Amino acid sequence: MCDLPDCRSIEVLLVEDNPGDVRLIKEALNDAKIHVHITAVHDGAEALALLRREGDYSTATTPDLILLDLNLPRMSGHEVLAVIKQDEHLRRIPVVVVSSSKADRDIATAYDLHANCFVTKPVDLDQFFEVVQAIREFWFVVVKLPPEQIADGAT
Amino acid sequence: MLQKVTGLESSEHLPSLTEAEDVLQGLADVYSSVGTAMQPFATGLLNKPVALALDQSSAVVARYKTLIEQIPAVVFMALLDKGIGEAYVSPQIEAILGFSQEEWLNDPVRWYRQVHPDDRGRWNVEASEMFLSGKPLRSVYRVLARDGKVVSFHCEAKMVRHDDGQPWFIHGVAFDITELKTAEEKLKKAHDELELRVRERTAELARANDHLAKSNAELEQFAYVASHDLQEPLRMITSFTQLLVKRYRGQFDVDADEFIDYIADGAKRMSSLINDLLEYSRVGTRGRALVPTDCSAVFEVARNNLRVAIEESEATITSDPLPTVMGDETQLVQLFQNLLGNAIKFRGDRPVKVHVSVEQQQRNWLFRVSDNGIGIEPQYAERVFVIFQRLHNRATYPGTGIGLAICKKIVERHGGRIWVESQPGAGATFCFLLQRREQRNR
Repeated sequence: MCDLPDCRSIEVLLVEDNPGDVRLIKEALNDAKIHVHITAVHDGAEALALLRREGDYSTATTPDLILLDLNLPRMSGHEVLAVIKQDEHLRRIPVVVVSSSKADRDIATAYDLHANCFVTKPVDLDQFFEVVQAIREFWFVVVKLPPEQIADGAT
Repeated sequence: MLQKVTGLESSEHLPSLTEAEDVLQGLADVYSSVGTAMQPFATGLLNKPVALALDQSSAVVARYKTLIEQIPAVVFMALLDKGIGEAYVSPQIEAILGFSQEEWLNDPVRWYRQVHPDDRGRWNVEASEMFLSGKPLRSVYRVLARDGKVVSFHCEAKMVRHDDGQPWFIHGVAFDITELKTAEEKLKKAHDELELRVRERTAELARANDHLAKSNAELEQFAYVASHDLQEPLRMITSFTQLLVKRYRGQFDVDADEFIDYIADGAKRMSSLINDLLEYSRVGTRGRALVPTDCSAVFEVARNNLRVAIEESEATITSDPLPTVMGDETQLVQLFQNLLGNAIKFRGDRPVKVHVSVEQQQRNWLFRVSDNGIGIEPQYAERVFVIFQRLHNRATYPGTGIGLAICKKIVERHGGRIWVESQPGAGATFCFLLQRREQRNR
């Protein structure tokens, strides 16, 4: 079932300030078949520090996927997204925006900033689980994630 | 001319003229502007004036004199060809201005000095025109009475010429129109005050309107933000309650399960309320411009959206051919859908029948959505349109009580009105007005 070359676990960076949502997403992503390792950070600055291995994050692993909330303290999710997608070392990492917003403007802005997809958090728990599990199925099973070894910009 | 004026100053009959140089200057300018024709009169200013009463020796003249003196106005005459020798003013002068006939006539420029300083310039111009053109003078002048009061005269004067064209005499009538003028001024003042107050009031209303529009917009924005932000913590409550139920139901005692159910139910209802509030606030914030909209199409969309409920209740929903109105299509669909949905929801024991009819009025279309359901007691006819007001318990008829509040807001946003006509058990007819075409004055 493991499609990754060395069959290691999948690294997910979850940028979410609400501990309740962190817990729910962790619950929903837990699956016997795929081993997912989730690192949760609470704001955008922390996320960028981790991605750039700054400060306490010098040994952090580059994630295979980023789950990004929009409504974050200090730096907004859109700002974090813009920085990631403008950084040539980070822009390949798929970013799934997971927000409670259904606003057209929020969705359009996210795609303008090259979000890989936009998902609205359902209010109902069962639907929430279904959505998170769909994200897992698609990104960890269906999708070929970017390879690690190829130099940036190479074809 | 100025020399003559200087000469006048030395005259014993005109001791006060030194203080009125401008008076004589103005008069002198008028006469000089007329040219040589007026020379005899101008020269006459130097001579001692002789006031002549009408010759009383003639019975005919006496009758005319009586006639003239009875006229309730100042009648005047002055010869122009023999210096200032002969002049007449009717005795009304005393009643109106407080000067006797003699006083008035003994001083040849008395009348000019009594003309209000602000009106002298105009008299100069208008009198010159009369002397030069021969056209009658018709004008209003303010004249100062002996006690300083201002009297308004409507003056009609004419110059009469000899056969050879030389000026002969001037005659005329001056009517005291002070009361008329005062009344006119009062009226104008009252009118101006009224106009000012209307302007002030209009400005006040405009300010109040702006304020209201602003606070309405703020309120809608507030409702939107509040309901959106309220959903977040509520989602936590519902999610973890559901998780609790999923994993731990039956592992606590019966009470705990019941409590959990109440939490779940409360959170679910609050979620509905917030969603409805959000939807309600969106009528104002998300509304689109009003454009010609075909209500028959709107009706079809609404009926189609309700087809599950229609099939389940075996309802018959019909409509007259419906007109095109100025509207926001999405909102009109919601309006029809809410009303038709209510008609099905509040059905009685009979098979549901709903009919939409329409009646053309001068500026509006009157729509009626009539059903054969349970009806509404008349005393609640207003309350049903108030947000979150319900007439039944949730077990019998679920819902938050938002539907008709949204209908009201939609109709009002379209410049119309909505009301209900009903009796319990006799069905309900919801009526609303929509504009027939665009209002031009906006």
